[in-house]
Formats: sequence, C-alpha cells, structure tokens
Amino acid sequence: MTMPISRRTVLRGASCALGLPLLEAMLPHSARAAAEPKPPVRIGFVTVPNGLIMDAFRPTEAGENYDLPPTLAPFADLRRDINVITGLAQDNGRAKGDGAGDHARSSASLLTGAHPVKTSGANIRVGQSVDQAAAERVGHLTRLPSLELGIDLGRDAGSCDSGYSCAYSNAVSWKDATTPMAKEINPRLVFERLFGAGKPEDQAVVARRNRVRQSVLDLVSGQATELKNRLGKTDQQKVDQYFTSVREIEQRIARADEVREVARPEMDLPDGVPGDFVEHIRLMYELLALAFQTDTTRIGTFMVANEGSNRSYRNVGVNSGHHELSHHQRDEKKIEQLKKIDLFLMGEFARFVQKLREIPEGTGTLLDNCLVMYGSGLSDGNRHRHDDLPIVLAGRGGGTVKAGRHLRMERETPLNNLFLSLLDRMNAGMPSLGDSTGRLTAIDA
Amino acid sequence: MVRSVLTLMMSWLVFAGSAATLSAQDPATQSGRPRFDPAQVYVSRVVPLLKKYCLECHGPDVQEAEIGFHDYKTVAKVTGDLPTWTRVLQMIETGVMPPDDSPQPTAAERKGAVNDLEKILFNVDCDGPPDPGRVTIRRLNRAEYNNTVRDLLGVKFQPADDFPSDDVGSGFDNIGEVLTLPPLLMEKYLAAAERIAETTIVTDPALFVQAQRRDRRQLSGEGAASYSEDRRRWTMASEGSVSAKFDFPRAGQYQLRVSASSDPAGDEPAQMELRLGGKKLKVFDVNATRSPSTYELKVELPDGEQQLVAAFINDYYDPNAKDKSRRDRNLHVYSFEIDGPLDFRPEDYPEFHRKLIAVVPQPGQLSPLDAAKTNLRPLLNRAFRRKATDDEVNQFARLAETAVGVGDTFEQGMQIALTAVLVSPHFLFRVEGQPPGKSSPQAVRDLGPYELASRLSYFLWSSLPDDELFAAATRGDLARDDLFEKQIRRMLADPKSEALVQNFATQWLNLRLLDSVTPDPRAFPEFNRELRADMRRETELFAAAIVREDRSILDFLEGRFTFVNERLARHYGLPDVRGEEFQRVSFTDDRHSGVLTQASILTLTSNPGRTSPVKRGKWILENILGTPPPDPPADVPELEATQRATPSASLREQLSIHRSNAVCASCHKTMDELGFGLENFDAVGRWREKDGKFAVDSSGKLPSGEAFRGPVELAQTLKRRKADFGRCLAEKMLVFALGRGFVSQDRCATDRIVEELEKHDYRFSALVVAIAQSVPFRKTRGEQP
Repeated sequence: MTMPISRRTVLRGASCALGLPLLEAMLPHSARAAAEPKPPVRIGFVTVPNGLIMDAFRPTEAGENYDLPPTLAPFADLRRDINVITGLAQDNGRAKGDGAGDHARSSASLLTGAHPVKTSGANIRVGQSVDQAAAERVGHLTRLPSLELGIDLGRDAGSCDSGYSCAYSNAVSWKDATTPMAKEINPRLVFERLFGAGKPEDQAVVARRNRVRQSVLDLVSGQATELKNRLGKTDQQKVDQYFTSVREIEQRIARADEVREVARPEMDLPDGVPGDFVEHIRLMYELLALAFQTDTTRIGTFMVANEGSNRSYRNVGVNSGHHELSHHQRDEKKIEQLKKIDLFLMGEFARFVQKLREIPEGTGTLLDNCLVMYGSGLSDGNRHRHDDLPIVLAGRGGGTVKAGRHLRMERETPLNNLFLSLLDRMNAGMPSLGDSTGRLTAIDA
Repeated sequence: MVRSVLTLMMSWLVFAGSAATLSAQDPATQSGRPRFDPAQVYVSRVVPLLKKYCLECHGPDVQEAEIGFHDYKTVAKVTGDLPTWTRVLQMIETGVMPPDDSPQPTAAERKGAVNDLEKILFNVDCDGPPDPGRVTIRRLNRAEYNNTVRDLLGVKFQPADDFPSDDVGSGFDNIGEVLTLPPLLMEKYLAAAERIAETTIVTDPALFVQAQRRDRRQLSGEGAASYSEDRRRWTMASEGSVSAKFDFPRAGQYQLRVSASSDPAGDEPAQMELRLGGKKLKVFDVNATRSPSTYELKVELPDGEQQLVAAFINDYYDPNAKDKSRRDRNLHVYSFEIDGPLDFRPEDYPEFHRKLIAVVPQPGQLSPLDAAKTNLRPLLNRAFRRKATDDEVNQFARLAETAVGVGDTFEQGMQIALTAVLVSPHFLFRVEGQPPGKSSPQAVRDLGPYELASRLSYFLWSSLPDDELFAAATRGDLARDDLFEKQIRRMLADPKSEALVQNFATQWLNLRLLDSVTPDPRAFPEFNRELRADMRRETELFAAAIVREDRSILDFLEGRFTFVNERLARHYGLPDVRGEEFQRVSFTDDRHSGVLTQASILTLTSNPGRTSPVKRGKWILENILGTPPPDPPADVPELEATQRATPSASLREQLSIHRSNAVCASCHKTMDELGFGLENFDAVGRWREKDGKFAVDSSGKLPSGEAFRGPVELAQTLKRRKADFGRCLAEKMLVFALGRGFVSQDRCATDRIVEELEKHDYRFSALVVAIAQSVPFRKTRGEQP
C-alpha cells in the first residue's frame, strides 16, 4: 500500500487546537479526481439531553435576518452557514397512554419518529433511525457504514426512566426497531476503528487477516443459521442480530478492495477516555470531523450526553445536576444555570461547525457538503414538551440547502419530515420514515 | 389535580410493586383450599368495594382519569382490559386511591381486594401445573465475557472492558431480552478473539523467553561504586563492583547483558569483568563513552539463585595528564538483563498454550486435522458449556487444517480455530433449545444437565461451569436435590462467588451509580475519587462477608460490623484504623446498622449539596421493601419552591409543607418518614447532630403507626417486615439468576423461596439454594407460536 503523504497533526489536550491535515492526499478521493463531479453529502446528528431554555434559543425574527439569542451567540460568525429550525415536533415522544418516562421516550423517538414500547426488558422496540436508514442504503459506499459516538457509558444499575429499559435513554441510533446501535465512547478506540492501531500495516498482512476473517465468519454464520432453526421466535430475533452483524463485517471485508484506502492521519493516538469531559467532547467532535473529512463514513451520530443525564457542568460554574436543574419550576436561578449549560454545549457544537468550515473540499469547504443536525428530543425540559423542538441544521448539503435562515415551521410538523429531506440528499430517499407526513421543502435551496 | 396525578401513577410498571403484600402465608396458595372462581369473587367481593369507595369519582356521573367502573360489570370485561386494571391494582395497593379526603377502606378490605385482583388479573394459580416462564437466549455480557475467557483459557486480561456497555433492563445488565448484538459489538468480538488467540497460542517461542532485568537501586554496589539517581547509573571511580541476584529457573542456556559506559583515560579502555557465582565469565573492554553500550554473552548455567557481578578492574588516575578530559578512568553500569532459558522445551510453553496445543501433527502418524480435533474437543466442550458434537469439532478443526494447507504453521492454524470458537454463536450465547415438537407455552421441560450447570455457574460466578460442575452434570448429579445443593455450597465457598457481589449486589443496591454521583465540592471538599472508591469497597466487602460467612440476609439491615481503611475510618470518625488495607470493625453504638448507614448508600441517595430524605426513603422502598413509589408528576412545586416561600423552615418542616398537598402526600408520607430515620448522616454519610442551624430530628412515623428514632430503630422497624424484605431480595435475585424480568407466575416460586428463607433463619445460602431449586430456574418451556 502506498501511503499518501500525511502531516503530523496533534489531537490532544483541552486546547484542542487541532490542525486537521489539509493536504490533498487526505481529502476524499472524489474531491481530488476531476472526473468525479461532486463531493458526497455527509449527514450527522448531535443530540443533547433534557431540552433547552427555549427563550434563550428561539430567534424572534424568522427568515434571513434572524437574530441570535444568547444560546446561539457562538454562531455569530457562522450564522450564514446554519439554519435554525423551530416548530418541529416528535409526537411519538409523548405518553400516548404510557404515563411517565418522557426522557426515555424523547431519546428513543428523536431520530426514529416512532413510539417506543414501554418495557424494562421484554420486547424492546421503537423504529429505525434516520442515520441507519441512510446507512442501509448508502453505507456500503464507505469503509464504515456509520459511526456512533457518545460520552457516557450506559447507566448500569437501577432503572433509567420510569419503567423504560436503559436502552432507550442510552442510544439515539437504531439499526432496526429492536437493535439500538451501541456507541463508542473511548476516543482511542474510535481512532483505531477509523484508521487502525499503530503503524500502517503491510498489504500482505491485511490480506491474510481478511482471508482468515472471511473463513472464520463463514463458519460461524453457518452455525448461526443452523442454530436459528432450533430456536423459538424471540431467540431467533437475537440470532438474527448476530447474523446481521456478521454479515455486515463480511461485506466490509468483501468491499475492502473496492473502497479506496483511507489515508491514515499520522496523529497521536488519543490516550483513552480523558478525565475532563470538555476535552472528551472536543476529541469526539474532532474524530467525527476526521471521519467525514477522510470519507471513512458519511453518516454519524453523537450523543453529547445520555438522555436524562445529571452531569454537573462545573467548567461553567454549574454544580447541580443537569436533569435536576431542568425541572426548574421557573426558578430564575436554575434557569440561569441551565442557560449556561445550553450555551456551553452549543458553543462546542459551533466549534465543530467552524472546524468543518475550515476544511477545504472540492471548490468549497467540508461544511458545504455536510448536513449536521443539533437538537434535543425535548424543548422545555421542565414540562417535558415534545414539540417546538430546538433544532440547528449546519451545512449546505452540497448546495441543496439554503443556509442562513431561521425557519419557523408550522407547529406539530413532524421532525421526521426534515429527515426525509436529508435522506433525499444522501441518495437514500424513502417514501416515508416513522411518522413523517412529507418533506421539509423549506430547507431547499 | 387528582386526575393528573392518577394518570401519571398509572404508568407504574406492572410487576414492580404489587407482590409485596401477598404474604407467604396467603391461604389461597396452600393446596386443599376451594378453587378460586374469578367470576364469582369479582361480583361478590370486589364489586361491592368498588361501589362503596370508588364509584363516586369513577362511575356513571364522573369518570376521573377516564375510568368508570360501571363499565366493568363482569370479570371478562376486567381481564379484557389488563392495562387499566393493573393500574387500578397499583393505585389500591399503594394506598394512592382512594385519595385522603375520601372515605378509606379498612386495611383488611384493601388487602383482600389486592389479593383478589391479583388472582383475577394474573391468573396466578400456584396449585395448577407450574409455568416456569421463558428465558430469551442470553448473550454473555461484559463481566461474563471477561470471566468466561479467564476460566476457559487461563489468561488474565479483560478484553470486554473495551466493549460497549450492556443495557440494563429490570435493574440488571444480564437480561437476555435487553442484550443486543449490534455490528460494533461483533467487530469487538472478532478483534478480541484474534487478540486472545494470538496471546494464548505461541507461534514464535522466542517471544516467550523470560527476561529478567535489574537496574537502579535493584543493583547493589561494593568498593568505590556509588549510585547517581540523576543519571540513573552506578559509577566506579576506582576499583569496585555492582551486583544483583538472579534466579535461573532451570539449567540451560542464558543470555547475559550488561549496559555500561566509561570515562576513558590512559592508554587502555576501561575493563569490566563479569562474574557469576564467584566464577569469572569474561572481561569486556568498555569503549562506550557518552551513551551506554550493551555487553553480552551466552552461557550454559545450572539452575538456582546466583549473584551476577560486574567489576571495574583497571582503575587509572593521572592528575597530570595533558588532556584534562583523560585523567580519570571510570566505569558506569546502568543495568543487568538476563534472558533465558533460550533452549525452549515443550514444558516451557505457558500452561494455557500447553492446554490448547496438547498434541502437534506428526508426519505419517498424526495428520493436522486429527491433531486439531484432539486439541479442540476439550476446548469446545467447555466453550460451548456442553458436549460438542463430532460435526462441530470437525468444522473447527478444518479451519486449522485449511490454514496448514496454505502454508501456515499448525499453531497459526489453531489460532484461527480458536478465534472462530470465540466468535461462534454457541460461545457468545447461552443456548437453551426449544423442547422438541411443536412450540407452546404448555410444553414445559426440565433443563438438561448442561443447561442447568450453565445457569448455576453464571448465576453464582458469572462464568462457565468448572470441571467439577461439568463432571457432576455428566454424571447426572444435578437432578438429585442433595447433590445439586452440594454443588451450590461448594460454588458459594469458591472465591469466584465474588462475582455475585460484583454483579448482583452492586446492581441491587445501586452501588454502581455511586460513580456518577458528584457531591458539591464547596460543601464537601473532602470528597474525592479515593474516598468514593473506598465507600464502594466497604459495601462490597460487607456483602461479600454475608455471602462467604453464610450470614443472615437480615444483616443487610442490622449487621453491626463493617469494613474500613484509614481514610474511610477518618471519614466516619472511627479511631485506630491505619493504612490502605480494609479491616473489619464491629459496632456497639446506636449509629451503625447494615448497609443503610454505609456512606456509599447514603451518598448515592443524596443531592449534591444536601441530604434527601425522599431519595433515601425511595431507595428503601425500592430495594429493601420491594414497593417502589410511582414517579412524581412532572409539574408539582418542588422543595426549593417551598423553601423560597418559607425560608426559615428546617428541611423537615419544608418537606412537611410540601406533603400537605394531598397529591404528594399519598407517597411521601411513607417515603420521607423512612428517610428521616437517616437524617443523622450528611450527604456524604458522616454522622451529624445538626443540619445547618437546626438540630437533627431523626424520628419518623409510618402510616401504620410504627414510630422510630435514628438509624438503628429504623433498621429494626424494617426488620419487622423481614418477609417483605426477603421477598424483595428474592425477586431481584431471581431476575438476576434467570436473566429475565419478573412475571406474575413467578409469584408462586417466590412464595416458596420466602418460605424456605424463613425455615432457615434467613441464611444467605438458603436464598440461593431456594432460587436454584425453583421451578423457573430448573425448567423451561416453549414459546407462544
């Protein structure tokens, strides 16, 4: 394998002044080859828990001359690169007779537009999420079909929210109605997954390993098929998951030759999970940017915290827990604290958007070819509102989205309508997804 | 308001709390009683109560919460609407309904209605044919994967630590239905399997040569030798030597290496003489000056401990030499290293390698395929936790054979076969087959001996059966109660039963949540990572003592002992404990009683800045009494609002104001009172007499009228409900043991388990044995087609 020239970059430390490698060799193949007309569109979904203080988020003016309320202040220099979208709802986050558990429902419905089955164990089920719908259709074009990132381990004792299994609060990405996509929280492991561990390997070594893996997976998928025939229905579902996951790795091996080798950025391998969560969040954003930049995947999700997270944001002077604060009962002091959290999290997202804008691609920037949604499954966390959700959509989707506006949608417009429109831009169009009722043409260029 | 709270309370999970009042002595569960006729019972016993207490708000005129009982004239209507009626049952059982300002049923009426409704709704007939329920095929979770690999191969590393976390359902992370297998995890399984195979099967013996190294203060000097920490080296300015002792495991060839440099002077290089056991080996000219070089030689040596010496033998000093830099000749020694024995013999392979590669192919005598089969059969039996079939052995052996065919070594081939074993569905899942024939819930069968052995070993050890349990299964011992029990007791006594603490107790007690608790650093500057770890360790050791010493489970409530190290003892204000090691201490005071007074539990049930009697009470209801309260409505004024309104009130007074709201009162009157009993402990579990400017009042009074003051009396009050506690613990442990959520039929099993507990003075082992002997544990059934 001939390695394209790479430049040493440093991915380290809270400063995180990461200079991503900007050499041509690091860019997606498509961006280099004149024969290929356009860089691909990437989609990302960044989710935050517990809702936002909407008064500090929602611009008063709609359209291009929208104002930037305090929480959106970090976008002062980026206001032409994003759309702020208000009015969208995730109706299936509502109780619909299931009682308490709005947090679990908000994360479960956020990217699926489906109503989760209330259960602490048996019959976990919601729906396929938008990112996985995209991965199913176009994931085979890149080395990894999709990337799922997070910061928090799953809560591993007790219950997560009012009789809902923790699976609903710990994941936003669902491969299918019954399989939540596990997220990677360790930056080192993400890096290794994207670019391999250690030094670039010899072609012969890689070829041998792929051959061996193929033979191993052949054998065990045969065993799975045979096993499945001896099992009951529920057990079969589990073996199906096994089978599907094995298949995915087999396919990845099979296309190893077709998919262009990703240039491995020569950067310091992250050490593992940083003790400081600010640094942790920044590293994850950097890795997502890098995954998009190198076209290792075109689809990513990032849970900045698990739903219902009670993290304290001491870095911005908030000592109480996020979830506890979110039930502020209109206490001004608590609302002020929540605004600090909202601003901090939005600021980190803005940094990421800024980063995407600094990376040249084709005739523009990487951001031009991205569509990254930032949002929460709740608007008002105090009252657990599932409508008028706070949504920011960064990027232009290869020129198909007109950025720089506040789009005020009609109340109760399904968030999934936006998803359908995003899928179209990935060449992963679907007639419907979850509770969608149509497309969100308001974003069109 | 009533409507909104009721709607919220309706969401309370079906099985979460309703079992606690069905006591073990419930006459209807004893055989020989008249059969329960739901239709008749509903009309003659339930309907009159509904008319008397409920119809006013839930009847033809008003349907609060959209429930009108006039719609349910027959039992068929009731059982046809289980969701509504399970909620109704919970409302009645928890005392939330009827609301306080309405006429209240007597305790007997309430209890009778609950018992009748439970039987009507869940059709729990313990006299009929037993229904063991069905356990969904269980993937190994992270802890199980680590333990299984450790016990299968004898290697100590924890590949699963890099796996994504396992989701929790029903309070535990080993629930078959909840454990999924997304592509990311499969990727990790494959990578882990490859790494394990590379580590356990040695393909290049050179990698396994033992190395021993001594440097810095591990060397000792004689004569003029002196050590400089700055330069990390020993210097001999005139004649002297450095030495270190080495153990040579057996006679054989060894490589000796010394890292040294010199300051040159005069006309010959510094000379270093190596001696071993007083015998001169070789003299080296040390020409290296600025940075050290390695001086090495190979020697045949006998076994045993010997002293290796490097001596400086040609000191030179000429203060008048012209070249100032060449006046003084010195020798510097940095380190000694010994590799060996170099001549690798079969018995030098690590044990895990020798177990996996018991035979190697012999040209003309043993083919690679047959050698692989011989090696793989015992491995597969253990990895699959049953006898592997010939066909299976053959499949994996062929992988090795094919590899050898394309030029790999036999060991490389075996690595591939082992990799495949570790990603096989038969390894990653604990498979329990369908009963033969048509699948139906009525097709109940006993678990096979290997299936039962697996359930037992994953219950007690979170790992695979050991050789003895496997042999017992083969002999058919597990079908005999006495021999089955003997295995259980043996396994509980084994150190591996620590898994029961690490995986069951830490989840039951919510101890794992301690990691995410962050007391306010301004209020509690002394709280840090180490103290947090100590708190957790204390409770783990306490639980382990109950397991290991087979103590009464009531010690969880009233045990007057615990384990502390110096840091934790200082935190508690206990004298005379020194060092990092935990030691056992006993109490005679009125401050300490079981886990309730341990800093771990007290901290994880507090808010960052203050205690929370509510959270502590809720923790007791959930984890000790098994009656979790419903979730609060989303928009009720919380405590801080109360505090702003009445800033001069103590926490207790504030809570009391908060509870004056009837909606809140129905749950808080129990929850808060329980929590008050622990008010003498601050938010990080330290004893206190005052809370701010208020004297602590640790008295509480339950709706039943029972009153207590302080933690020890609280524990005694809880102990009076020992059957409830026993049932709560039994239900949780049954869920953990089975790896599935609790279902209504399991009540029959828990009734028996609680009876057994009572018969055996609440011994921990009695609980474990009774669970392992229970119908849901020993049997399985088919699925609904």
